[in-house]
Amino acid sequence: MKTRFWILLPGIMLVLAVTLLSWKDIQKGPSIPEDVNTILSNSCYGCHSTGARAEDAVKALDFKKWDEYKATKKVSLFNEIHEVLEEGKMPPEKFLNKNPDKAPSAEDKEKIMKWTKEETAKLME
Amino acid sequence: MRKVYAILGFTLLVLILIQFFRPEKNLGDIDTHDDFIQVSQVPDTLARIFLNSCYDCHSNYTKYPWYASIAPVSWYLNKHIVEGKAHLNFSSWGIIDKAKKISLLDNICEECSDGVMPLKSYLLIHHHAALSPQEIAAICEWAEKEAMEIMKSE
Repeated sequence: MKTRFWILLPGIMLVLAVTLLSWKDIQKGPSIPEDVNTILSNSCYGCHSTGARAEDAVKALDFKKWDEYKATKKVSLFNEIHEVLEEGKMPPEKFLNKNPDKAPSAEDKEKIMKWTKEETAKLME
Repeated sequence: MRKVYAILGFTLLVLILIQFFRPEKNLGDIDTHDDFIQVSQVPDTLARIFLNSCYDCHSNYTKYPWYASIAPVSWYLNKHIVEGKAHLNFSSWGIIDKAKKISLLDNICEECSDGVMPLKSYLLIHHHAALSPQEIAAICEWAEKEAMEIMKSE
C-alpha cells in the first residue's frame, strides 16, 4: 500500500499543479470583454490565434497571447485592428467567400472599433 | 528579316512614345519641421540609416538615380514612392497621431526584422541601403524606447 502511494504521488502532484495553474487563469478572467470576444472568436480567432494554420496571421496578431503583449504592442495592434476594419481589409474577402457566416455585421465592426479606441485611450493615459 | 526590323522598330517607337508620360517627381523639401528625425530626435547614427535606407520612398524627397527619368522605370519607381508614402511618410511624422506613431514604430522594427523592408527590388540597385543585423537591432531598440516615450507623453 505504501509503495503504491509513492508511485502515485508524482501523478497526484501533477494533477494538483494543473488544476492550480488553470485556476489562476480562471481567476484572472479574460482581458477582452465578453461581447467583443464573441465577435472576435467568430470572425478572427480562426486565423489569429495560436495553433491556426495561417502562420503569418498568427505571427502578426495572436489573440491567445493578448495578455503577453507589451503596452506599446497593444496600442499598435489596436490601431491596426481599427484600420483594417475601417478599410474593410479584414476579414479577407477570400475567407468570407468561403465562410459567409463569419462576416461581422456593421454593428459588430462598430463595436470592435469603439473597443480599440477606448482601450487605446486607457493605455495612453 | 524584314519582320525582325518591324518588331524592333515598333518596340523603339513604343519606348519613345511612353517617355511622354512622366509621373510627377517626389522632390519636396528635405527639411520640414514635421520631419521624423527632427520631431523624434533620432540619434545621428540611426538618422543616417533612415535617410539612407528608407527616405527615398518614405519621405517627400527622393534621391533619383539617372535612369529614374526613363519610362517604364520611372513609372515603377513612382508606384513604389506613392505606396511607400501612403503607408509611412517620414516628412509628415509630426502631424501623425500618437497611437498611429506607436503602431508605425512597431511596424518599422517588424518589417526590417522580417526582411520585408527595404524592398528586395530597391536593394538590388541600392546595395548600400541593406541593413545589417546590428543596425536592425539598433532600430528596434530605439523604436521601442521612442514608442514608450510617446505613450507616456501628454
